[in-house]
Amino acid sequence: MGLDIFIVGQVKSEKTSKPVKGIKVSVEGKMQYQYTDESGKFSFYTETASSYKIKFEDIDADQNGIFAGKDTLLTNIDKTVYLDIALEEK
Amino acid sequence: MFRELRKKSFQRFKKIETKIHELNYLFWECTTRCNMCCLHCGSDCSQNSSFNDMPLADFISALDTIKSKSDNFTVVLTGGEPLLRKDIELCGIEIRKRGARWSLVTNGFLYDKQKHISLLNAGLGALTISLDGLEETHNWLRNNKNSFQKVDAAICLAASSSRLNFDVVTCVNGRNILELPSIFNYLVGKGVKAWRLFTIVPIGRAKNNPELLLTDFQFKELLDFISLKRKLNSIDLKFSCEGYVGPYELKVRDSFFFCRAGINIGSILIDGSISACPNIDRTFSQGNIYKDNFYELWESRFQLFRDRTWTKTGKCERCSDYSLCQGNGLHNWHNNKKNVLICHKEKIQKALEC
Repeated sequence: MGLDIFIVGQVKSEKTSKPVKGIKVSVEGKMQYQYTDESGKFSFYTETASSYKIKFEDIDADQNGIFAGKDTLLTNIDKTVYLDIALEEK
Repeated sequence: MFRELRKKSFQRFKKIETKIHELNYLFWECTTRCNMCCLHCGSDCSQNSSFNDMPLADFISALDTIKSKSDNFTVVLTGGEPLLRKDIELCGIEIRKRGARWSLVTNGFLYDKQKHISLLNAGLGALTISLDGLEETHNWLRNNKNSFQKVDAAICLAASSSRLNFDVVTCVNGRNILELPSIFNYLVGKGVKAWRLFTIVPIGRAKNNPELLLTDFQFKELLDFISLKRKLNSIDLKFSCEGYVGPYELKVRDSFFFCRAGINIGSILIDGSISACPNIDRTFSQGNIYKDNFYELWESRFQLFRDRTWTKTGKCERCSDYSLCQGNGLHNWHNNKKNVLICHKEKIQKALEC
């Protein structure tokens, strides 16, 4: 069975520190993605790699505010990583 | 000489495995609802199941009785059609939280891109999709004119994932046996890495349809096909673990026949019954999660599965291969358990005599 890692975290507004819903969280080059929930939370398993570029994109227009995208590069992840992400409001 | 030594050593290995009986696969019959009405269904599943889906919490309570899980312990969600459950991803997440892997057996009808992604997100590790022929034959057996189109899309998605341990299973019958070379080419073309072939046991709806069952000669043809194609190494092709195949052992699988039901394989069935592989006759049930502690029962009962001397009856009684076969796959024992329903070795012998 293929090895995987668990990526879990929360997206908040850098300005207000409030959770942001509807942000698309994905791993670059992979089909998988997930949207943050009401609490700005997300979690998913993805296949093991030496590094991961996790992309955060606001693609729901102004439905939940307008935020700049962000990429986070992860290396040397063992089984689980927790990400606290603050997005800049446009 | 080498083969004989290997046989002896495998028999010793089986004894040790039986004694240890480490639980590696736990089937969960999480629903008996199904979106199809396949001609060969051994469970008589239908859209109007008489059982409600088992609540996730009930299954988790049973799973939590297993205090120390083996490294490769996997929960296999089966049905019915497990993708009919709205909470299938939640089921997977809760299983992963407990340090276990999970996999799924599906007819592929509901397996679209969105479902593929949500299941991967929930930590799906392995997937089995049923394909029973090229378009016309698959749709006939699945009793649904859109079935092939859907399963084709599902196979493409699953094969595209390098993380999933994905295989296709085919129930070989009188109608699709001549299509096997074409199905082989189709699967290799789709990039499928593993293909398991089963035959249909005359139980459930299948028992009233002789076209679904293979003649002795067709059965031998099937084994010849597997044996030949395995040499090409283009796909991990194997005959299922359903039975002992005498002269074809090691030609159609990587190892000798070993029915691991109740030795490494357990199940929790829709009504809470505790058994081994879900296709085994329900009279083999060892208890029920609503009354018993699942793991205590796994450790203390299952004698019928771990000491198979009771199968030395009927046509098995005087069989010269009994020590290697030990009563064939246990799903071949029904009702009064006085005779094996199918003897694969006998089918091969009869075909050779023709």
